[in-house]
Amino acid sequence: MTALLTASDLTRSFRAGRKRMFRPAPRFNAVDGVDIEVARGETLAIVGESGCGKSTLGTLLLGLAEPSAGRVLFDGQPVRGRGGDAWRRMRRRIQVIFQDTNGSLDPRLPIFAQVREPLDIHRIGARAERDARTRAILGAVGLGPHLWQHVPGELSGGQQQRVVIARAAILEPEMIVCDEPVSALDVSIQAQVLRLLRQLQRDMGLTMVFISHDLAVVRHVADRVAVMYLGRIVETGSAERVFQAPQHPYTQALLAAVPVPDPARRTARVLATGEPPSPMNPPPGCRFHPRCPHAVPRCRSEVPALRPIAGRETACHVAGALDAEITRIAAE
Amino acid sequence: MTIAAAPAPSRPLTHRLGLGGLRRVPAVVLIAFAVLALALVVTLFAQFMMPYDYDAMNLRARLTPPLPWEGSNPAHPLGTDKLGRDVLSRLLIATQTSIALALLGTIIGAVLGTVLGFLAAHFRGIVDEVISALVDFQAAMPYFIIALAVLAFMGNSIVVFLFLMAIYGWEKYARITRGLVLSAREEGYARAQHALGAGPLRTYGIHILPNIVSPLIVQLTVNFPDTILFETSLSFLGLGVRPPLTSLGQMLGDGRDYLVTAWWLAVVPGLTIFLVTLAMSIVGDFLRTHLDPSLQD
Repeated sequence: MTALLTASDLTRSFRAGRKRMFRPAPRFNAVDGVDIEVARGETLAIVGESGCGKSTLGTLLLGLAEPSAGRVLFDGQPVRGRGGDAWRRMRRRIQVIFQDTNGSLDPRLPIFAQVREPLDIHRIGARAERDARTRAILGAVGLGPHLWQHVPGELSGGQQQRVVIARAAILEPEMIVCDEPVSALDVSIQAQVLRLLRQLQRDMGLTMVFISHDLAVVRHVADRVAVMYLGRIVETGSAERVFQAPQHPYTQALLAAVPVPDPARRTARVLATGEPPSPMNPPPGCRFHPRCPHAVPRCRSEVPALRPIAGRETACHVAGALDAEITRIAAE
Repeated sequence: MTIAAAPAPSRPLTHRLGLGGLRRVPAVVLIAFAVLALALVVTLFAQFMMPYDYDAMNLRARLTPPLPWEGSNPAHPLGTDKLGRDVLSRLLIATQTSIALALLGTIIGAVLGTVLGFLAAHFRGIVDEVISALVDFQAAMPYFIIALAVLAFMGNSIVVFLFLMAIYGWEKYARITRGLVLSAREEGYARAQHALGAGPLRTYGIHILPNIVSPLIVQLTVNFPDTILFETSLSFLGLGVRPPLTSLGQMLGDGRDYLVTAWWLAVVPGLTIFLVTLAMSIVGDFLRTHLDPSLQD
């Protein structure tokens, strides 16, 4: 397994509130010391509640924002120098599908021109060749010629998302970061779009980073999962292991919150209590401890590091010992 | 993957400008369009339309009244002035001068203001502050006084005059453009362009400009009558277009002395100014209601 993308100790802090005299402006870390690796050809899902920093992490991985600390390596090269030539060339290799599909298309330009545009930007091929490639990719994402001269407003949400996917895929990138690619779509359309993404991934050997809050969706696409809570990764490992037997109490709470349609398979719910604390003023120690049903005094003072537990990495002091307890709760 | 079909024909321009929904155009707007069309024809072809040389004097036919009035001469349908020059010929040339100057001035001002607005929004920081300060300065200045001062110091040439017209009103475009670009840059399509690796010129030219052009066109139509009035005011004061060249304001200023004895000398150019600016305002209003998305539906 070779890592295509490596991020180490990635931190992105924002100024919060106004600057006061003689006091620095308060800052908070939206992403706080994240280490992440994405292997070539795999799909890594980043999951977490809204506000946990997963979208910010996405922009850092893409090089669309500069990290406050740490760095991102893509295929051994640093992803940085926003707007520079090297950065621009890297745009051909890393593409993004944003959350707000409708908004990420120009409302006045026919979709054919918008899908061809990446080729225009990077001056790939002659005009006829660009048009041919555009026709091919539009066909591949299932948009017929009768739609090509329409503007995005005249298309359905699912069709718009296909346009966005075609535009990202036409450069034949090595990696695509999808930020909540289907959360704005109907469930029925979600399945189609996810199938399209997986098909493209297979055909083009894509590496994907899939950011989502929707575990039901993630389950369909992810090879590996990283669970984020308040800017930190609390659990990461193969999707199968994490979903089957979550070790971190937060992952357990997240999974328990996913409705299970089969009453016979209903498990004991491990619920987090209360609201996530403000990232402005994160609790000391383990950031999850105020909501954690298993917290021990050590959780309040000592930040847990990611450590291997049961075939994945978990940042929890009590995780190993939890297994037994879960079994006990389930039995009750 | 073989898909042979070529892209369907391009959409009509009216559709892309958001004018696709136009059905009924009010009569008054049609009349205004007709007046402007006539003014445009005059501007382009005045030299071929005038019955006499606009500067040809005929001292024996001085102050002939216009047609239906007593003592009029069918050879001079709008009468003659104090030097016996044909008023119709002079009016055509004056209209040409005034509209050409106002049009050029408006376009130069619009381009200048729009470019500065883009620069301010793109670079922010010190560039933005300097441009915004210039905008405030321009907006706060009594521009007429400045124009008089410039004409007094620099002397009056057509280049200086055109320059003054172009500077007149640029700050409105700059202010509008800056605000629109700042908000458009936060739109998803602009962010997506950035992520695709597009340079700022491409993003601004191909995507942001077409999306913000409607308010700018509206501003253009609002500004144009102002610019005509500005030109005529300066020429009226004798600081604009110099004889032998003539403009509507200059004709008006010349006719002022003869208001009692030869009213047509002032009324004919005055009426023309009134009609052209009114028509432009009506068309501007019409375009505003149809181009401004916030006023639609």
